[in-house]
Amino acid sequence: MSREFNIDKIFREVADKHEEAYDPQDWNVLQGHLKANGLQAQPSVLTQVMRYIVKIISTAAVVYMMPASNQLNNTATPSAVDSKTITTQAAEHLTGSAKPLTHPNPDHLAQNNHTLTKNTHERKKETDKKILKSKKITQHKSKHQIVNKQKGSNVTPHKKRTPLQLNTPNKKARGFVKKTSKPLVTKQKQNIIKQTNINTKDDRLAKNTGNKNSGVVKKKTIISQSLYQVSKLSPIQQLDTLDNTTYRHSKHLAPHIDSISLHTHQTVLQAYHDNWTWVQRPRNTFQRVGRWLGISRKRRIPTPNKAKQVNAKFMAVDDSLKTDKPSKRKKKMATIRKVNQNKSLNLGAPTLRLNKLLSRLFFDKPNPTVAKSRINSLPKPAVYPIREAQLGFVYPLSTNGVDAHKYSNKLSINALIGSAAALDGLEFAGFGNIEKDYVKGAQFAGFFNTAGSHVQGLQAAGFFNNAGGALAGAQLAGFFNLAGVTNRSASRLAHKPTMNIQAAGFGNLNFNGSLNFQAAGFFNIGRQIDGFQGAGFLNISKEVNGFQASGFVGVCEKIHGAQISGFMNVADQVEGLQMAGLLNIAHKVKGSQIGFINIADSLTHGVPIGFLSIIKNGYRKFEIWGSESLHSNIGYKIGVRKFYNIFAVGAQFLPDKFRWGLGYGIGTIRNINAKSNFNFEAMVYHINENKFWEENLRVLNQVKFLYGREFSNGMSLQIGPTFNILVSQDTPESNVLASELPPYHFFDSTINGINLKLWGGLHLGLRF
Amino acid sequence: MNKKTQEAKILKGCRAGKARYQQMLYELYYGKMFSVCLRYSRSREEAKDVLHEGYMKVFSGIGNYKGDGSLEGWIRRIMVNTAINHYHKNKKLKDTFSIEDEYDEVAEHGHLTEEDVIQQMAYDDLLNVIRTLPPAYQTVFSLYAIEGYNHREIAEMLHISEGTSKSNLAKARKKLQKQVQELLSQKAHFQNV
Repeated sequence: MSREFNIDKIFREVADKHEEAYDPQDWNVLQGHLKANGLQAQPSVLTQVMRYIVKIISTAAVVYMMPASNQLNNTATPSAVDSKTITTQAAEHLTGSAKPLTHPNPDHLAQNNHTLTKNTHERKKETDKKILKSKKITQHKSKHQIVNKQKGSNVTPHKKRTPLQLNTPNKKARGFVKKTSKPLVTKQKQNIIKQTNINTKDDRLAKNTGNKNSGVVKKKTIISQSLYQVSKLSPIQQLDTLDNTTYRHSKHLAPHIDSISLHTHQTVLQAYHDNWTWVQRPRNTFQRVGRWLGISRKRRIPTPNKAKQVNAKFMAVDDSLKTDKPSKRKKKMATIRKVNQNKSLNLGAPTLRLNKLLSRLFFDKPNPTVAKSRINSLPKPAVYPIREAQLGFVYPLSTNGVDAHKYSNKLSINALIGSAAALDGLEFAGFGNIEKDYVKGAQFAGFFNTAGSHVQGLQAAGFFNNAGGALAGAQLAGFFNLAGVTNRSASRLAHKPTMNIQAAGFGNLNFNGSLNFQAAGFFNIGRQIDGFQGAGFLNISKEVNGFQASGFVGVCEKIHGAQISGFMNVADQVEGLQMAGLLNIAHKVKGSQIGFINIADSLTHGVPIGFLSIIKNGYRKFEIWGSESLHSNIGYKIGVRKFYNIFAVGAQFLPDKFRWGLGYGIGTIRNINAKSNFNFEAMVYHINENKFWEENLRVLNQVKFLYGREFSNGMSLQIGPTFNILVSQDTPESNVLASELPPYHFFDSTINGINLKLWGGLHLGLRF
Repeated sequence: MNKKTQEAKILKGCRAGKARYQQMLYELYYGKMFSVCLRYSRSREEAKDVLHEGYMKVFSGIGNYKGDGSLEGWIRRIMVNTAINHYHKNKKLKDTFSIEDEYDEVAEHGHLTEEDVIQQMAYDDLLNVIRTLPPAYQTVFSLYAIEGYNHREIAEMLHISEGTSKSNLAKARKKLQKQVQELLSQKAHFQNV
């Protein structure tokens, strides 16, 4: 018996307890994003310069003042063949035999590490004796040979610095052998060869386990110093010291020695770069300098690790397909194919992308929060010297003269056109007013008013008004109002205004801030309306809290309140009412839709009232039912549970007659409990008798009271009484006085050739 | 008190866009938020993407945080919403991979209590288990069980119906139940060996 756990509790507690470990690398990544999006303040120039200097000094210190930067670092290597021959020849000299003491190929050595160490250990005693005998000769000879070899290969190891390259253990070992073989005696070399063998193995171990960074520098200094000291001594002394110290403590030193070969000049640099997330190696001096200064381009080549991860992502699908059983693979492929097929089928379906469209119209950034933060950091508006009063005719002919556009006026009266930097009071003009910057106060003109930046107060003109920035106050014009269109950057006002109004005979445009009232004879375009937006033809806005009324079309992204149009409404999100003469389209409705046709993706807290309501996650059912008069019916019910439309076709089969009816109706479902419900439906049929279409009046009105029983698979059984009224006209040409659709009736009367029949019936249907 | 003043300091610095304070905030909630993101994603890389996207939102909208409610809760909400957005974006792609349930017989664990299970399970185990679910189940379960949203909120967030949310949760629970027991039996097996 397996026990049921409270899975929720388990997962919640485990999740609550857990915290991921911090990875400092991530901050660097995020910081890059932040800088790219302008969310991080730039440090001041001085600190930047200081940082560069510190960076350069620290880099230089790390790279060049490391104790490791002794002779060992110049790892110029002659070709592999050279080092091999040298090693073998030197070894032959030592032992005096044709057999090489050690195998020259370090790779091979590493593999046969154990046996080799044993060999060298045994042979060491022999060689010791021999060396004591022929010390000087071997020294001379070996030195001589090495020098010759070098000349032959034209390599000057000391001066040439190798380009940065990965240190394979092979090269390391070679370089090491070459280097040390010069100042030291061959005997010593032999020891070191042995050590390098150990090293190479240790390297691998270290690489495998992944811990190679810890305490590297310290170890290295110790070892290199000891070696350096050794190299200063005379050859014999060197021999002794090496024998006594290095060799004797080779076990002890082994883990340290690996650092010599591993951490050369380049690897230190490499490690340093790794720490600074510079993974790609600089190719030349310029790049390196660029790195130091931090001005080089971002790296494009991903680190091997990252590349692997990305690759793995793409390969995951492939692998899963490969590794699966054939049957499973087929299934998966089928699902993928299915999805692809569906995609192509879906192409025809229109999708509402109103928010994208409107964002484009109002030039909104895709991420509004970013835009806001930029707006907040805008500089404060300029301040102009204020003149108490100004009188003028046109621009240069005024009391302010040629410099009129440098002053702000408290009172300004112009016969034709007034021009000023700004307005801090009241202004009148016969034709027009022009302010370069803001307006605070009221402007009156016969034809036009225009302000470069925001307007706080009133603009009234016979033809048009323009506020460059945001509007806080009112704009009244005979024809046209503009606000926030020409100067988008100066958008925010210091404080929230109380009442914003735009009214014009033809059109209003407001791209900035919010409005409380916008009215125009033809069209309105407003960004945000907190109040009323009314136009004779068209309304477009991003957000309406209140009421939007238009004569023909209303478009809005978010509505809290009502949207009413003569022809059609388009909205993304509606909270409240959407009402149109013909068509309502919305994505998400919280409330009601009233119109001839209603279309919505989701509708809650309300009903769609109209001839046809297509609600994506609403109620859609077919029903097959039978009744006493129309024997078999099929109908489609579409809408929401609270209110749905019914389209139905029914037929009556009699031996001598055939009748059929086309019907439309409305219905509602009320839940009694989870399984059962109560249904009320009202339907109207047009009945045709013995022919395809009957021109005369034959209307069957039905009211149904149904009890429904729902099953788990979405089907439900409906049963209940119906009340019927049949209104029919005499049709003398077909020898029928009135319709005899019902098999029985309890009321029958004919007045002026119009027959009325009443009866009760039964409905039995299945919905699916 | 000390914690509060520190938080206020960080907030002030972040509003000014100072890198140092941003880093402090980042480090402060990194662990918790990353673990949140991990729950809603299929891989570590994806979770990191979500985390960074969320933090971008945090830093850009830090001015909107008025100090009512805890800062952690605020950030967590942003992270969850970001993860949900991410889920919507990748929905089509993810739906192509369906996971067949092939579970072996589960060993008997009549005597275990929930506390035992909680102690035995590590977060990585949890993630592994939860990621075997289809993405929709994973998201619904995380939202309901761990974050504590109700079905109506979940339905609104994911653009699904409440019924779907409920059924997803039930199926997810069922599968997880099996998985957890299987996991425990495996662990017990290893311990015995």
